[in-house]
Amino acid sequence: MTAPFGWPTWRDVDGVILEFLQRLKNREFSTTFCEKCGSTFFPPQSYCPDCLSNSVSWRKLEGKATLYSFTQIDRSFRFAAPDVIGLVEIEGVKGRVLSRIDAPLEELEIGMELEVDFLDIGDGYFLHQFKPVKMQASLSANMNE
Amino acid sequence: MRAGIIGVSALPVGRHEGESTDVLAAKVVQEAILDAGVSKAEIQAALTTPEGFTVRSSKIKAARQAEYLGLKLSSAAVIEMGGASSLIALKFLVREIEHGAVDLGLIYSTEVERHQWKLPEDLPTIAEINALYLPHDSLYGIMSATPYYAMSMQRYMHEYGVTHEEIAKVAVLLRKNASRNPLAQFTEPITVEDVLSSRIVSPPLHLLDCSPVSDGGAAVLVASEDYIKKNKKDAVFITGIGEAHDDSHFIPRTGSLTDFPAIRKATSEALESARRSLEQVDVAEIYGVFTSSELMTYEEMGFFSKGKAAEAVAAGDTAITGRIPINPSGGRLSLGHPFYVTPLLEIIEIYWQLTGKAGERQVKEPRVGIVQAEHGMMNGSIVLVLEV
Repeated sequence: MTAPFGWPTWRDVDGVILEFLQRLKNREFSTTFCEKCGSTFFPPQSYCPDCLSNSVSWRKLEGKATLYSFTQIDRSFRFAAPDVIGLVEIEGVKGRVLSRIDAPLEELEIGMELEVDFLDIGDGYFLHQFKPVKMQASLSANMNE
Repeated sequence: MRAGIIGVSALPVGRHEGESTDVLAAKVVQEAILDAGVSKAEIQAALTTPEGFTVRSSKIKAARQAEYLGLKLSSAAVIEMGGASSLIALKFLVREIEHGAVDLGLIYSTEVERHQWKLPEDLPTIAEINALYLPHDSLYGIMSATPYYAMSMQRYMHEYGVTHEEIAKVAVLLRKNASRNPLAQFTEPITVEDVLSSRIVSPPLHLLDCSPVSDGGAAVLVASEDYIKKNKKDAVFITGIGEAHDDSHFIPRTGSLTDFPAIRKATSEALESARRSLEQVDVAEIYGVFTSSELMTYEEMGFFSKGKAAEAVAAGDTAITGRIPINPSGGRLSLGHPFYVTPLLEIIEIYWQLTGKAGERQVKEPRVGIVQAEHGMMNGSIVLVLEV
């Protein structure tokens, strides 16, 4: 698997990043966690940023996702401009996820619950994006608890 | 052994398209030599920065430009640490002088950016040169730091209940200061309404909340106290230095996007090493690239409590005649922002203020000045205390 378009050619593309992209292709949003100190961090790395151990394994990210902040890029080249970009916090994960948000800017609020989604960008690549959890869906989920 | 600034030079900030960074370097270095009244052969150190932020950097640039300038050096390098580069270069020169390795040294920076891009042909080049928070930004088409600062501003407004209207007042004040600065890129007066109605760049940031991508050049000559005494030079002494970097680059893993501990740490270290308190500072130049980050920097440095800087600006506290004048030059927003040159422009403004050469924007008899620069999204900061 080679690096997708928009990837700076001078930067190291290590195995972990390629694995991350491969997992996205399989509709799996995941990151690495440290077997030694237990830290789960994002973005994934082959060395733990907390203890520098390289005993890292993959973990699917399934914790509650909330919108930390958001903005819009009016001159986005990859998607139809304007494009909404946000930072997502995921329960139990150290590090915020920079991601596309699949919703109009006016409908977003800091702290709202999101769910992960996958976006086909062509050439066999998929990116993660997030969308607001539908109000009705979350109400019925609460009632089932 | 203390180090002091004995001569400076700065080009007008704006567009220098088509000009060579070598030629601009010769111009500012020559002017700084004349300003200090020294001879070129006395210069033992020359530290510089890359040619620009949106252009490719050449290799071994420090040696190539030393050849162009005809400098025989015992200390030479290009220093790169984002927006803090030229101030960090100055710190290394001060350390060389303090160790007794250098008596007279030079920091210079000249920068000509690329202002025109062709889309979509240039996209791979833009991605290669400009993507910052790699590897996860360019995949989403993010090619500058602006969206990150916008998200920080969004949090600032959310956490402290500050409105855009209140934040915009700092842009109005900086424009007023710039109107008195012959080097400034933007001098036409603006109003809060102008800021709020300017084009949205990345919400909540509008065009007039942002600094421009500018070209420019500057040089600063620094000498040892022995040299200054022996040659009877007037000098502004560097009395304190603080530098701190978080373990983050643009987006901190933890902590609020409105919290910048590196600025606090660098400021307190600089003041402590100068044996000064913040209350003793008479004038400040800080690296505010956006209205919101400008205000948050005031707060993190300790001039005002969190969420209160906008109020203080509205009350006139930071004006040239205010309690603590900040960015009398017009700041990055209106003086203009040649990324690598900016910290030298800040130093030069404080040098002029402390030596009574600031013309129409002169602060009344300042004795202690402070200069701050940062990189990333204020994930790292360097602060200098300057005194006459």
